[in-house]
Amino acid sequence: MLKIVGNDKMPEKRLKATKADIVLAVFFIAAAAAVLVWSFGYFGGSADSVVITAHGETVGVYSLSEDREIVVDGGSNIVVIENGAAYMKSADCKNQHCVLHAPIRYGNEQIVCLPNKVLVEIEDNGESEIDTVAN
Amino acid sequence: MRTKKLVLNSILVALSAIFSYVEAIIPIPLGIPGIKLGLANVVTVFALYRIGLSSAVLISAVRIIIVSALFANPMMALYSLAGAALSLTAMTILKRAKIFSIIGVSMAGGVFHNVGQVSAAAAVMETVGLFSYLSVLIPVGMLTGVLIGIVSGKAIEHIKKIPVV
Ligand SMILES: [Zn+2]
Repeated sequence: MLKIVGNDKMPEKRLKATKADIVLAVFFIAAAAAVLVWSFGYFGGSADSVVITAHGETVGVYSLSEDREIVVDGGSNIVVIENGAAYMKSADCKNQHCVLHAPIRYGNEQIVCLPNKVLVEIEDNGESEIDTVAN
Repeated sequence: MRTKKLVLNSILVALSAIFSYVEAIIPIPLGIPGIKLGLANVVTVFALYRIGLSSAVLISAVRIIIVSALFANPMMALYSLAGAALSLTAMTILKRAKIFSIIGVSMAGGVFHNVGQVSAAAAVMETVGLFSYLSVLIPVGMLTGVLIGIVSGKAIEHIKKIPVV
């Protein structure tokens, strides 16, 4: 028979949350909130071009103001640029997450197709959205 | 005795592969694509507590390789392995600290599984933007980890005797 190391009264054997568990939970929530705050700053800048990479290599940089269709990696993924936004029109990946993703148009926003290693990312042009509106 | 342990490990691999398979065919919609409850981790946590770290490592690695060979893409297997490795490392450290319950240990396992997957994906895709998913994936990992911790704890309470040395 399997020897039970220690006894069932030890905290790591009990099915009841300890103080340390609660502290850890608070730490995780704080970490998630920190990521959220970072995201607000990272995404949403103004942009005028989109970069497509496949298998780590740049397929091309395209203007968002020019409507077009880009065939990536021999047709594994097809990206469409339309009305200043980019979206994945089709993909041969199994999960189709990239196809279901909403169109992207602001700085650093991205659509990834993890199985096919395809990344569609908006290039942040460094100007803030507010400045652009003022201009 | 070695044979008995081998048989037990094999049964647990089969059980966890079935959990993964069931989850793949009946996806539980949790709002974000790619998010899973990770039922197979019940087996990992159980093995970590009742058999030992080496069994837990072996069971998760073999399960991920089998499941991805059968139903997934090799790239996705890489992300799962990164998640499992970080998750097991975190759970082992916290378990040894002896101040966390199985619920806390499993919660950390759930969080670090997602952190490992996202980090691997961010490294492969060479983009930091993917880390933004962690604002949702950390709370989701906490929730699934706590659920898995409770289920594993119940299983451990009920299966007191395991015929292994
Ligand atoms: Zn895809």
